[in-house]
Amino acid sequence: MRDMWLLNTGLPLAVVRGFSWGSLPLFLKICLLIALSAMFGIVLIILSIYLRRKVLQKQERRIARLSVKITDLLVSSVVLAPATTGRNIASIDFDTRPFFKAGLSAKKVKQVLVQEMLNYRNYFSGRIAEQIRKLYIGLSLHREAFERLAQSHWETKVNALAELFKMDVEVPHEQLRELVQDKNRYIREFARLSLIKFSRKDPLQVLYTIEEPISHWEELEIYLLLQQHPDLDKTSLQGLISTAIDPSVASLALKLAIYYKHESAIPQIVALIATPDLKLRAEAVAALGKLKAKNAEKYLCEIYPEQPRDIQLAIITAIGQIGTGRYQELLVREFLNSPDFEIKKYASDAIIQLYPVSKHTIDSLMDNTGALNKTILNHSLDPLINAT
Amino acid sequence: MKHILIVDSDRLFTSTVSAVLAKENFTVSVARDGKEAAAKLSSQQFSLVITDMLMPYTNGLELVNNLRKVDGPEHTPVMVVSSIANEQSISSWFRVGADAYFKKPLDLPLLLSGIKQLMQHERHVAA
Repeated sequence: MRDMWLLNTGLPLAVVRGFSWGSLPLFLKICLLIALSAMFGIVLIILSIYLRRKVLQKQERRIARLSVKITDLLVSSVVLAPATTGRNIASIDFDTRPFFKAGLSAKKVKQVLVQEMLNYRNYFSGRIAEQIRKLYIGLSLHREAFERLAQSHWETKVNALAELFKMDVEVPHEQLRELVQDKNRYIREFARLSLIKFSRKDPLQVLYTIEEPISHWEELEIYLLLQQHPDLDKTSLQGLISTAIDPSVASLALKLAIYYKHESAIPQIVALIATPDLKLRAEAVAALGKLKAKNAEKYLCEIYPEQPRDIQLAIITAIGQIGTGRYQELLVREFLNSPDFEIKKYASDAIIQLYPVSKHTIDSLMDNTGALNKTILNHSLDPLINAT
Repeated sequence: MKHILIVDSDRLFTSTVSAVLAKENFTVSVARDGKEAAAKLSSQQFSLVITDMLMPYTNGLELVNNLRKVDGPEHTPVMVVSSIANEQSISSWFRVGADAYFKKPLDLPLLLSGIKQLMQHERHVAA
């Protein structure tokens, strides 16, 4: 009977009949055990990945539903509340009960609420942003952030610092000065940002103490912060436009000088062109263009031949932006004769930018130039191609 | 009743602005991306389009450009709401035919008064 069954399985009868675990050599036993445990392990891993994904998907769906509910709550309690159109926002008292009813004691609900509040402050300014801040403080969410700030784990600390920063809740300056010296870069960055945000007298002072290159992200954040300081100390800003300052900080100072149309910084910007840092040099040239530094135009044309290609491109653009049209011949010469396509394209853009001063030049080029040059000029004239 | 189309991929933004506009007695439709917006614009008439710049499929600039190509004499006013606010991008918006520009983060009462002004102006132009 057993033989019949074995025959039906298709296994060679001799192999199966002779099989006995005890008769197997030791190495084969070990191999079989390893193979079996590996298969079992793989099955377990696949199962755990599958289950984890399912749990995550469920969590995501729950958070999405919760976000919608919280957004609706914020819209009805804060955005559409009659107080939002009132005259004095300081006198508004929030009814926090609906938020507790939504299950605010649960950690997850609290996290989603804080996230939604932060998103609100990213999208909306003015009274709505201020009301959201008041609600955040009214629900004592800032206290929990301060508690997290005292914890040792860097990520918890950074998140708490970021939350307080975005909610405009001031952290004591002594604590921030300690955090600026922290060994973790992210903590240092957020501490610097907080110091700049809450140093109302001279927010630029922090930048003089920076001893490391600032990241692009930090540069952008500082730039956005300092845009809200229309009475920024000009002398302090000029001091940062120097080869003695870290190039990343000097680059930020250039952007601020452009934003505030700080024309008295032009001599410092011209001096910065001497920097060996080519990226910073190109930015200094670009700043002269954006500030329409007419007095620097001649100098830019003089240094043009000896500059590397990237600086030449920046000079061409700057001449177009300065807009006097006095140095059109340099642009026309480069457009017609340069073997470098990129230089031709930049020169064409600059000539178009000089319009209406360059009207005669454009007409003449359109009539007397080859097909490729006409195509380049037409590209420069197309608003969709130039749009960024 | 004035019908406004909001084109933005962010739920929080669209639901908040929709609620504020609905309270002011506007009818509001929402499109999550440029493609959806184009479909709505081809099938319905809107009194105003509020659009973001960065969206999936068709960005705001292309959307306005395409709208202006097919726009009849009624000229649907377009208001751009974006966090990108450099000189070049703003001038590009106006070159393709946007009528107003607002930078994010937005002051809602200011946006509302901008919408009302724009609609009033368009009514005068149409008259």
